[in-house]
Amino acid sequence: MEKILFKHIDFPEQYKIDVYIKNGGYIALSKALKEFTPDDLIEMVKKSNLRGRGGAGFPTGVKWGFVPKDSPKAKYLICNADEGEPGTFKDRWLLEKDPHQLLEGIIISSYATGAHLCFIYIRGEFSFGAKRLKGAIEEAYQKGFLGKNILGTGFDLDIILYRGGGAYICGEETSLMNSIQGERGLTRLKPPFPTSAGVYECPTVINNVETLSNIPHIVLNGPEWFSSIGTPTSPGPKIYSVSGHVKKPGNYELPMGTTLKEIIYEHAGGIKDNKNLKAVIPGGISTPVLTPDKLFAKMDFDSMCDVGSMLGSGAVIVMDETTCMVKSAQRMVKFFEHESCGKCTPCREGTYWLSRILERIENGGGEEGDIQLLLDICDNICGKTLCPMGDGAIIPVLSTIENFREEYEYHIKNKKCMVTPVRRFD
Amino acid sequence: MKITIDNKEVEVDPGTTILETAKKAGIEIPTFCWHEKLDVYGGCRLCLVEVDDLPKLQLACATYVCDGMRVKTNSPKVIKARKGNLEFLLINHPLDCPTCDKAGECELQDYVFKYGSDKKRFKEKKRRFIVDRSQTFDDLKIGPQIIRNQNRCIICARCIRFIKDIAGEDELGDFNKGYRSEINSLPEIPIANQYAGNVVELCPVGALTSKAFRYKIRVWLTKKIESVCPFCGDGCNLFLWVKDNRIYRVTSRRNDKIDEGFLCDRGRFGYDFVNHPDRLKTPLLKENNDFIPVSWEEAFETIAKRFEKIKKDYGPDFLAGVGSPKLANEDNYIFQKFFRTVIGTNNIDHRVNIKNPLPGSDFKDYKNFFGMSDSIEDLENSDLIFILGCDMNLEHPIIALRIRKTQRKNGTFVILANPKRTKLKNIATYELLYKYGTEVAFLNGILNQIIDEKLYRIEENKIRELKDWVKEYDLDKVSDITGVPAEKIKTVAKFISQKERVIFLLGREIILHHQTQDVVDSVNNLILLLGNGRKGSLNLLWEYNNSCGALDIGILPDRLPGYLPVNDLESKKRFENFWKEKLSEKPGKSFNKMLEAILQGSLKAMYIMGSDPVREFPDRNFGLKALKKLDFLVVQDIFLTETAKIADVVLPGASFAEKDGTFTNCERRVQKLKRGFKPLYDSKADWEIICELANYWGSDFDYPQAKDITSEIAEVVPIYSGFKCEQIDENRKRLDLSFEKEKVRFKRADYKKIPDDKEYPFVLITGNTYYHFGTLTQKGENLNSIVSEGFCEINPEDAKNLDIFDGDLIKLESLSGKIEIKAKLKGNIQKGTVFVPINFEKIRYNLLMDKDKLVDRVRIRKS
Repeated sequence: MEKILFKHIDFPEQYKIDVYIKNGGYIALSKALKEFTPDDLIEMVKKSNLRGRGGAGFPTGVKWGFVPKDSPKAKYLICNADEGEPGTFKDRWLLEKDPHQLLEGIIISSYATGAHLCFIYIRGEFSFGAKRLKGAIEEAYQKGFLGKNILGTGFDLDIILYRGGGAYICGEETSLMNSIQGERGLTRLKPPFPTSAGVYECPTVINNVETLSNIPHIVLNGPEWFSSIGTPTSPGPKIYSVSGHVKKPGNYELPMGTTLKEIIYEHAGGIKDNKNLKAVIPGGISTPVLTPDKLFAKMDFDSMCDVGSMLGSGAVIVMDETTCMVKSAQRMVKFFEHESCGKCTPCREGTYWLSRILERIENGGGEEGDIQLLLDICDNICGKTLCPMGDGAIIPVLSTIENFREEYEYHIKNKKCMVTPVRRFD
Repeated sequence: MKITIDNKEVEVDPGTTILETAKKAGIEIPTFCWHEKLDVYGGCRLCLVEVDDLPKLQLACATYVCDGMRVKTNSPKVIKARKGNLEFLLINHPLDCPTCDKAGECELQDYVFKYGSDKKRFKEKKRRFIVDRSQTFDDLKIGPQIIRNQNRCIICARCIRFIKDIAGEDELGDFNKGYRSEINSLPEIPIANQYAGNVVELCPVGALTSKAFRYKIRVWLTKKIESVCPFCGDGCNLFLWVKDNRIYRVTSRRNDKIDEGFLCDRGRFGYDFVNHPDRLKTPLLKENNDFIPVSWEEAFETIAKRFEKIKKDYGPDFLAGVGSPKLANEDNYIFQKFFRTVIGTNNIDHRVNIKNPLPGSDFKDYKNFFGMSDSIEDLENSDLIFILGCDMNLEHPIIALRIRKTQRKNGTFVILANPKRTKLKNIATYELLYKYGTEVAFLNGILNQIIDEKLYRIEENKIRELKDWVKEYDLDKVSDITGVPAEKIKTVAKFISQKERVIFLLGREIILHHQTQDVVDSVNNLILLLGNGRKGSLNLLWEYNNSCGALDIGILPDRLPGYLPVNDLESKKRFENFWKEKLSEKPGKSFNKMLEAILQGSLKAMYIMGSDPVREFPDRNFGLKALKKLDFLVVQDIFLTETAKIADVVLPGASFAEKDGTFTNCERRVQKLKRGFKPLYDSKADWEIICELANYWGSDFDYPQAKDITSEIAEVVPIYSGFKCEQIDENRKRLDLSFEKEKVRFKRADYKKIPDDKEYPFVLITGNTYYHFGTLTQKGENLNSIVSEGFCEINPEDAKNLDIFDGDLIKLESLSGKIEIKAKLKGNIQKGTVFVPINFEKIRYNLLMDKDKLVDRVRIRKS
């Protein structure tokens, strides 16, 4: 496949507006503003069947369609650049290396959804990305792509770049909105959904960086072109972030539905030191771990569901035979324990408890019945939390017990790892 | 809509949550973070229930019902989730119930008992929030009265949400995240707002406890007594928790018509004057400038003998009685009956803190002095609340909460017009700071502006006269007098005239004003002018817990109970028939006139019940001089007040906790308080003392119990008719005042210029403080632990010019006296004014006051 989002990613100084324009940038914007009504654009995106690249895979056009047209309130667009899912680093590239592609997508999307103010909520740790974006926004203002009366069409848009404070939960849309409002990043009850009462209680559309970056291409090449890429239910290009025990970790832009095997062995160069593959996490640590017999599976939203996992953010974490699955689960749960916002009981207390038990097992203090207890705690968290994070937090435990139960049993019985040598992640 | 909940069919309206539906069906769903008066939070996850065949359990508190919904609250799935949730809450919860104040009324304890599991599966180390390693319990003092134990906290955030959403403060927040989340105040900024105590009551567990109640007693050993707050006019409902003649704490007895379950700290912590060791224990008789304890017999004998003699020698009008807006209706009723029948005079009053008490005897239109024409609840049905001369948070903290609520929930607009900046400013649409005493000019300016711009909806011909009166109040002139920018007056005039339902709230500033009548008339003019279909109403917020009651019950020199004129033959006859005594038809003297009469020699003896005029009368020198000149002074109080010190006989009364009775709050709701324990030491309920004195005198005051007096009030006082003692609590009704609503017409009110005084440049404003009310709260430890010392609030710019710094000791001087006081620099005080609190015995603010001055002025000297 010809690269789309990454077409100019390595082009020298692509982040500069003149280079971006020379490479065909901001043509889509002009086309969108001058040739289409907002409704046309929503229809177009619906037709393209672009699905959100943040993890949940919700159809973007449908989300845009939820924004009430008759609301007297202001409407907002938020670009979620709080890329925090461990293993994911695709948005970072997009906004560091080709920020104008994102801005162009944002301006078109704002026009389509009726927003005149957009917040880019960027992860606090992305200081370089924030700098790049800030520069890009300034350039866009100078060229008249932002501000009042964009390209003489009468459309106004301002962008506020908002840097997060480093909380994973602020990638969740309701906490993100609270954070923008200057409050603590605690999740909100849904409903109301952001499209009806979001930031400052106004209709708000929240899209991921990668999702928005696709928009200019859909406008330029049409929805049919877009849906011809990838699979029918998950069309378009996808950036897979591959990390872990592979020879060539990195971001790979491939059509949706590329198999895990192809991603790992053809693009990422196979397993490091030619060891055997033990497990793959396909979409960031809140997706269930897969065993090597599932490598045939296509990496798209539906196929991943079929094999009992999720596409998530497309962050492929590869673990070879030297990895202790108990340790990996413990490390992942520790992350969730640390990042739980603390608002709801099962997530706050449950992750604490899971984390303590896993630490104990890992440190040789496991007892009989611990596995059963872990599973029951997971059941008491599952589906009972305020936001999806609770469900995400139990996935490492559930999926590793399901696939590698014998490692847990070995750990508990022998007070040590089944695999040697132990490779430390931390 | 029909909902099936646990096989029970319930009919509910759309927009009801599952939780409310279950309540209606009598089914309990356990909750922690949910609270009826707080916004839905969804954090505790305890109220999950099964809905239809949805795979996920749903939140009962946040899910709205739809027709035909089937809800299960006790399916195996729900039971497991509940057990699991309570287990989560318990894993880190310390098992210190034996020493926890909340034990016995802890929601976690109760729910675990009811729904929890009895197996312990948590083997790990419990999380601790260590404050100090040498401490066992990790207690942290986060406010003068609030102690936090984070280990016990279940992060339901009720406290934070109350402080933020209801009280509108920012003192409390959650810090850290996840399992390390903790509730805390900011370093160096303790949680000390006037509503802080509510968080203790809201806390479902023992994470927040109060210093006042901690470790004092196990809650199940105490008895809960229904009572009413004895301080401000809001009349919040209380529970007194008592054992062995002692109040251990006060909590809210939620009354949605008034307090909605919240109290201010004065009401919550101010109870400890009751058990103060300085309480008067026996009657005292002054002999050779010393008080000696005597028996009631001896005291009555002395009083009867002396009163008898003065009555015989000079006549009954040489005697006077002073009641109190702080005592119960029963006390005041018996008091005025005693003076009117046994003594035979109308020299009765209770308004000791007002220079020129209105209405006078020649004054017909009482309507506007009754108090509120709206109820506290009505505030929620208004479009605009206009607050005039009232620091709502100081005077009526619970009404202030209601104003916040309606602003937040219904978007009601609030306009503040005050001589100083008040706390409600952060929700006010407009804030107008006028120069002290210029209300009439300010209101006339608005009237003129409305007429000028033709914003009124009343017929042209009806306002011709008014137009002539107010035309001299043009914008520039008014702006010059009041100090309010002309543009702002213009904007506000326009704004008011656009609103349909406007409620005017007038406070202490207006009650004590030198032009009370004119201010009220001006507001009435404004309401009339806006008129025609629009509703405006005037509410005068009386200060004390029973100010309205004292007025209603006839502690007035010119009015019998129910505002019936003493010189009206029909009214007189009515009471003569009832009391079987002849009554005097000669109007008596108001308190300020009584003092003048003493000095003129036409008043010889006085009986003061529950008031402390030496401390309260706005001219200490004059008051003291007069009272000292009396031949005979009886003071009945619970402490040896400054007035009691100069008395000849002192009688020990009982506090609000020791007697049955009723208070009438500022919206004129009659509320019952119950006796928590018998009067302490050898004291007696105030009405009982008067009854016994009357009987000693040979009258027949036959009231075995307070409720017999209540019944008589209901029978004989026209506006209280129909109230039966038993019904008062059930009905919780307000009195209907329609009986005297006369047609109001435009009345001329002109601004009286306040003379400048170069020598004494600062206007003196007095009032209550956030943590003290009236004269009693300062007796107690609890509130003194928050603020124990008086201070003079002064504008920082004025202070700078005078080279005064925060905390400096300064002298306030007027022509009549001087006091020493600490300075407190506060930007909410306008330049050229100073604020001095009335709550501190040591701060003799009334020494600076002169009864003949329209406005009291002082100068400031550095000490």
